[in-house]
Amino acid sequence: MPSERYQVHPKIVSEIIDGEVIILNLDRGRYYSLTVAGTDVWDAIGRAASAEEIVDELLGRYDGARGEVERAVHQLLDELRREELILSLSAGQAGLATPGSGGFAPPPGAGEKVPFQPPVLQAYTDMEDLLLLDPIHEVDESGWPNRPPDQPASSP
Amino acid sequence: MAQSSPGSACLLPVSQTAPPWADRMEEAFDHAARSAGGVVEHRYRIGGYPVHLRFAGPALVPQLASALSHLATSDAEPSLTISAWDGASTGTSVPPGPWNDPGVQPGQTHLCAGERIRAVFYPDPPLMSFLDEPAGRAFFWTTDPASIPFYESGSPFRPIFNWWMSAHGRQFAHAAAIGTSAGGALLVGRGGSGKSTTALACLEAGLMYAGDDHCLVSADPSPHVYSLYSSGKLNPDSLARLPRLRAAVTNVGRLDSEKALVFLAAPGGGLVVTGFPLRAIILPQVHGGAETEVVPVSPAAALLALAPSTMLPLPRSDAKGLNALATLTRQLPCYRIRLGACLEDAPRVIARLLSES
Repeated sequence: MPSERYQVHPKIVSEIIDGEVIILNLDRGRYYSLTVAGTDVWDAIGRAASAEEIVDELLGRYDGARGEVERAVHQLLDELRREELILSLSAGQAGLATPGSGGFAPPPGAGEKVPFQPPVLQAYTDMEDLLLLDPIHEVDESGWPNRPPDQPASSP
Repeated sequence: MAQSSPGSACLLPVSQTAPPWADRMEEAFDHAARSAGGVVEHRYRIGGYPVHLRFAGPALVPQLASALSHLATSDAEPSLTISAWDGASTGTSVPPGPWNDPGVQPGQTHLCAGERIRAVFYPDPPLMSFLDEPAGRAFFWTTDPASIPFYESGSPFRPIFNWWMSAHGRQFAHAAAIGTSAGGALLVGRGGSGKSTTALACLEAGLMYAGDDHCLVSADPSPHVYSLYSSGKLNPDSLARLPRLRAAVTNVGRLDSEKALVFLAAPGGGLVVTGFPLRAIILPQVHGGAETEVVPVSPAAALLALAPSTMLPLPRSDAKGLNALATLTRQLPCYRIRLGACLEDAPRVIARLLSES
């Protein structure tokens, strides 16, 4: 059975900057950050990697026991799914996805691995109350009430 | 994909087509203008672009034009035209939108998003913003000028400016902007971090001021900030520390429920500048110790202070906006200013930092 692959949720925007990931959920008003190994995991998800591929890539960069890294990766993936930041690729989508390739580039001048620290997803909810949008209506070029051509009729 | 909602059920079948929504908006504005005795027009240069603001009659002018007065221009041909009217003085409502659909829950904020048209309707008080980006025309409507909240008067047309400017190389930023002849800095952080107080203290000390809460930024060809609003908003504690601004407060009778709102563009200009090159990003942090000091921070820390409060409150923000803000944090040195007890120290420390950047 092919390994499950992951992708960033389409409603999420993120930026990897200076070894840290800033993630915004524009629909829920929450934002998050990941660092170090967490950044590597997020980068791998951006390449549609599977959990096993992510573990292998981390073991190539960090000094840690496979079991420890596997637990940490699965825990983070579960948390990212609960927060609706990532999706599992369907079997059809997984067949079209480009598997994570190349892994992480080793840090400049680094011949030794750094100790593995389980990644922590830092979540911020202080701006949730500012988000008041509901609902969102997709409109065509001429605007409401014209339905976009690819939108099916809704049930009343 | 549209979210399931009662509004979605009232979209027309593909086989039927209503006249373009933007044309109906234009007709409503024209009707409102005739009812109110004509169009009152103001011209500005915003983010480097000529923008015309057309009011149906004079009723909305004090509420919505004061914060932009420092950007007045005589440019003839606009890149963007915003037409604004209110129901009370013109007797003209806004053309129906999905917020009028039967069964829609009251009190909801509605966003309409398409490749060409964007609109947002806030229910309390009723405010509608609408943009037809390719045509460079936008519309703003409210029920009654008296119901416009102080934060809207201080920062009018935010959704319209955010949508249109981001399509034209200018990113909306939740930031204050202050500077010297050597260039300036963005002050970034969520509400309560000390941005406004620090920015207004810098203004009092004679530094250039381009805004206390919102501005436009670009990184191409080099980091630059464009002033958007000449307003400043202060909580009571900060107003007490900047007593010379008390005379400029416009909502004196409502300070128990609103921040103090000041407009800083004196007739003939002088206090507020239209913009300047950026040299740094600074994160204010109220510290209260004896000294005010500056320490470097990472670009990621700066982006975390800048992006969420910029993007989350604005309807239909996107990855392009986050990328634009991230580009700035990569290009500029980033610092945290730990604000000591003496507010007057902050402008001096910032001016020295800018001269060394």
